[in-house]
Amino acid sequence: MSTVQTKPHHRQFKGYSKNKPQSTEWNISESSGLFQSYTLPKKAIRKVSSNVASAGKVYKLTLDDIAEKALWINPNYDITLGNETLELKRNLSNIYEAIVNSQDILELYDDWDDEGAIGHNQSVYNRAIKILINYSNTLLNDYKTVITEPEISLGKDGSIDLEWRDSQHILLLNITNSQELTTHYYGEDIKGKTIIKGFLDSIDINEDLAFWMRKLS
Amino acid sequence: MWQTEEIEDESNLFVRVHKNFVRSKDNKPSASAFTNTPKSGNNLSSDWNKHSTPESSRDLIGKQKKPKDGTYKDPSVFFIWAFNSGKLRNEAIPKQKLEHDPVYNQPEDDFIPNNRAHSIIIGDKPENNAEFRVSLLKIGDWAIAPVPKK
Repeated sequence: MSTVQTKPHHRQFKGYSKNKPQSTEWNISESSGLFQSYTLPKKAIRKVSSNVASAGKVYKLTLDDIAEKALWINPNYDITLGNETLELKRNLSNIYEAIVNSQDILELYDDWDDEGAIGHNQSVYNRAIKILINYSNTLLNDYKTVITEPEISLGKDGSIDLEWRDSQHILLLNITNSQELTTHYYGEDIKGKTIIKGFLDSIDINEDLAFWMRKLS
Repeated sequence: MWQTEEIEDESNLFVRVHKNFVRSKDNKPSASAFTNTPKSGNNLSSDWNKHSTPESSRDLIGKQKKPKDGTYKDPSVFFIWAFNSGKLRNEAIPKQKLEHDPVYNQPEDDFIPNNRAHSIIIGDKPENNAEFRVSLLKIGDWAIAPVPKK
């Protein structure tokens, strides 16, 4: 058994559990300042890094080590929305960061802009994140495409926008502030001069939209 | 009391954009910046450049009290976006109507300060919110832009 040290921040940021891992082969053995030590089986150490790790020594993994060499530990990010935990593929770290950053929205209440804007609605926010996770995973699985991260913002009417915009493309998904899930979407491929638009009434994948979203890589 | 006037297609209309609606990626307004609350309908307030400048439009924000606590709004958290009137009428989806709607009260209302430039952008409820918002993004530019974050 060997010990590998990782920064708690990196573990959390890159999808490691903040809690004690469930596996009997993967236990917190000690804690010291910014670093915590984990006891790993030898087999695991070989997978983490064949050139830096050996049994019986303590190592500090860099962020790159963790991101690139320790992918085997958990293939997904776990994202909890209410009582539901959704999995986001680990390759989609940009999407994960966008979701983490979007949680500022949950601190916006009525009149947050001093102009009468409606505050966030947790269920609308959850729907937006579910849609984002669902499409991001699908694009990766079905088209081997890591899409760029959208801007996630709260509208004055309490709706949530997922917005992708660059010099070639724009795609906007507007998840309305309503009891039932309703999403309006509109996309333009400026170079190809193609447009896609329509409505979603569930988080299930709309194949036409997903196919179009390959452009957002 | 000011008379209402016809807004020419060559005009610009200034719309305030709260800092939370500025995209971190490219410092442009997010698509959600140009909507209104259901309470105030689908109309969007603006200031006509015939009777205002971007600076005066922004300064006016600081003369307006907040309904929730009676303190004055902070103009520094708002930026000014300019829409071309003709494009609003012809290129927005759905097309928008523009009305000059000067505000004048005596004594002046602290919550709605007198404003000769005040105009409203009136639109039918869009069939597709996303299409509407994107169409608005394409027909304007910053008149007072936020400073890009380094």
